Amino acid sequence: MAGMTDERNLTLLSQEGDSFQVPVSIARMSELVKTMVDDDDDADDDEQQEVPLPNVKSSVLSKVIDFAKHHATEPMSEIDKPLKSANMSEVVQSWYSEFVDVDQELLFELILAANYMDIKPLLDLTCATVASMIKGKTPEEIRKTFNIVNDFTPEEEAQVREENKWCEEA
Amino acid sequence: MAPKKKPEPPTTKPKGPKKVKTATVKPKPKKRKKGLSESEEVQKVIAAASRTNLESLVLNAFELAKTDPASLPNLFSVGSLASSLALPQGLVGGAVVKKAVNDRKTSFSIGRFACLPEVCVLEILHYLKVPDLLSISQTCENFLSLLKDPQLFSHGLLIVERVPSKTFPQLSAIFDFSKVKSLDLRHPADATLEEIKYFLHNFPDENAVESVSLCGKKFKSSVQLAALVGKLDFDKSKSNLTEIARVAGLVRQASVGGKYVKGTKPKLDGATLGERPTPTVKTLITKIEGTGGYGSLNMKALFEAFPAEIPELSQLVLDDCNYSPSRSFTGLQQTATNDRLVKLHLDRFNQQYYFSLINSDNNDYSANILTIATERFFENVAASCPNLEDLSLSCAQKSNYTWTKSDKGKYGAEPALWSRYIKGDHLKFPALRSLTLKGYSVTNATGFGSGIPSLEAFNFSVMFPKNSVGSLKAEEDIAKIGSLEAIVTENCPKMVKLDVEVKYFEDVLMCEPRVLYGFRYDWQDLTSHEMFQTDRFIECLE
Repeated sequence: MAGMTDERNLTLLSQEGDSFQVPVSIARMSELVKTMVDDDDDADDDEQQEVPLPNVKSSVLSKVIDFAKHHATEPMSEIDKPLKSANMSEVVQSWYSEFVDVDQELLFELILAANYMDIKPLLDLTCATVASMIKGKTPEEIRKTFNIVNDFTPEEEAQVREENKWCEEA
Repeated sequence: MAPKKKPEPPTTKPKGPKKVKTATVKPKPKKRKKGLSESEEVQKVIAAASRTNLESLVLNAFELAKTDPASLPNLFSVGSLASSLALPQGLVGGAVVKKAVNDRKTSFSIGRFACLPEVCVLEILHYLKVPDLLSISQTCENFLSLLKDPQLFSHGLLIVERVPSKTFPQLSAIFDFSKVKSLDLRHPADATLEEIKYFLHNFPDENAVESVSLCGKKFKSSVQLAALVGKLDFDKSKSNLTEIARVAGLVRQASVGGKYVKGTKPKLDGATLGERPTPTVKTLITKIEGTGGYGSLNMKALFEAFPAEIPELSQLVLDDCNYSPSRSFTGLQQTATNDRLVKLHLDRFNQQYYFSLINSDNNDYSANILTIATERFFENVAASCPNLEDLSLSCAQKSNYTWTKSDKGKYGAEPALWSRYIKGDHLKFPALRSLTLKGYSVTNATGFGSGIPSLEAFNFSVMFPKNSVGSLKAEEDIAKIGSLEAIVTENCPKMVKLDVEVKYFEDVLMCEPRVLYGFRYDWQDLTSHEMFQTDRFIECLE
């Protein structure tokens, strides 16, 4: 099977049970799927494999597949660490920066999906995008953006703020 | 991509022997109460807890659950776990839950980040520089704890964007640098040397840091930087990283201990560094090795510049030098003393201005001028460097004859006349132990070596054009050189290595002098005047 994966499709089943037909060559971008496909080399070629992905919602899986398909035609450029810019369009190609221009909830679900399905470029892209949302922000802005509860006591916060004063001044 | 509609009814298995593989079997998380966020749930658990007698039970249960991390995708599950274990939430020690959460490596609970495994949060943090990480550290206690994870720097590179005073101790306290292999201090501010040292010494394993960069200049290791920092003795008010950055500009040349080593194709990155090495930095240098033409060397200026600005210089090795005799005639008495200089090697030590002196065909005049210049040079060196132990001078061998203008306007060689003669008794170096002379002839061999009582090694070689052999002048010269061995042996009782050699080369060339001398045209931007501004000289050495 490994030698003829390009022509065949497999089915990815989302958390909701929706099925997505995906060329094996595309689906193999996911290390998780790849492992399963590779494990099944002795399977009957006529069978169309189904890979259940109970942790991935349909809406997210759809995006993941879009990503994988596009990546096959235009591989994403490597993202520098640390980020050079908070503007993702200056970090990756425009398609990818537009791809992650989504609401925060979906973005975090994409991170989870990328992590679960083990798709490194997608994980890189989504994590870098979250990082770009942090970059250059003050602690208060970060809290507000990500709904983080400040659990420092006022004294602790004053101390931390004082210690990191240079950060704000610079 | 639009999904295919879910097959109905789900109870009926679709036709065909479709094979279904399970990626990972994971129990569905319990549905959380409507309107209560995960963090609220956890806060509730923690706030409600007061007893600790069930601590071990909860922890054990938690450990059990950890064997299947996916079953605990978030902090909420910890609370759920307590519930599912039928432990009254009010009895669950808040501290226990909190500790369990902190110990847990598969989930991470901070606002929106609560849904992410810690590994993903770390992955996000990998994209941030230190100032942003410090901002994160101020958002909440859990983040502050997470930043202590050594995996944060598992990629090995720590880039410190700005380095103001007081920052290094903070960084060392906030982060775990045990995985850092490369430290990049890009934009130094006002951190003092003491703070830098403190920072470096606070690395878990200082030796593990393989390189440290300051302003784009890379030190081989933090140890090297620390050692170098330790060598500097700046006034504290000025001893900041900017100052060190200037040192960094010399790092290829100035290794620990101030050894100035030539670079392969050195160039001072003025744009990055902004400033040339300061006089303070130069105090580190003990050895200079330079390659590439240095225009016309004014030895007087050279000898005055180095003790003034590089007082520790003990070895000066320059290749492709040119010597300006006309300059050296002036002011010899004011030449500064280079007490420390013990080694002086000037290779391809030609006399560039020779050509400007021989506008006429008066070869005797030019020869005399050069002979006098040579004498003056040795006098100058002897006077300037009383402790010199190793002197090596080599002239471009093929230029070892005088030049006359040919009918065609080109310079041609007059092979029988020698431009650089050394009088036998003229060399007076009380401490000299090794003398190498290449491309010189001798006026008088008789007293040769009498002024160098400590000489232990003598290497003398010269090349004659073949077509000069047979001329009276050449025969006389060759005869004098032939007698050198015996004379030097007699005059230098400590001599252990003696090598006098006469070689011959084929034809006298007819070509432009610059070509013959092997001058390097890429050095044309360096004027002889600039040569004696030591900053510029060092820049050109690079």
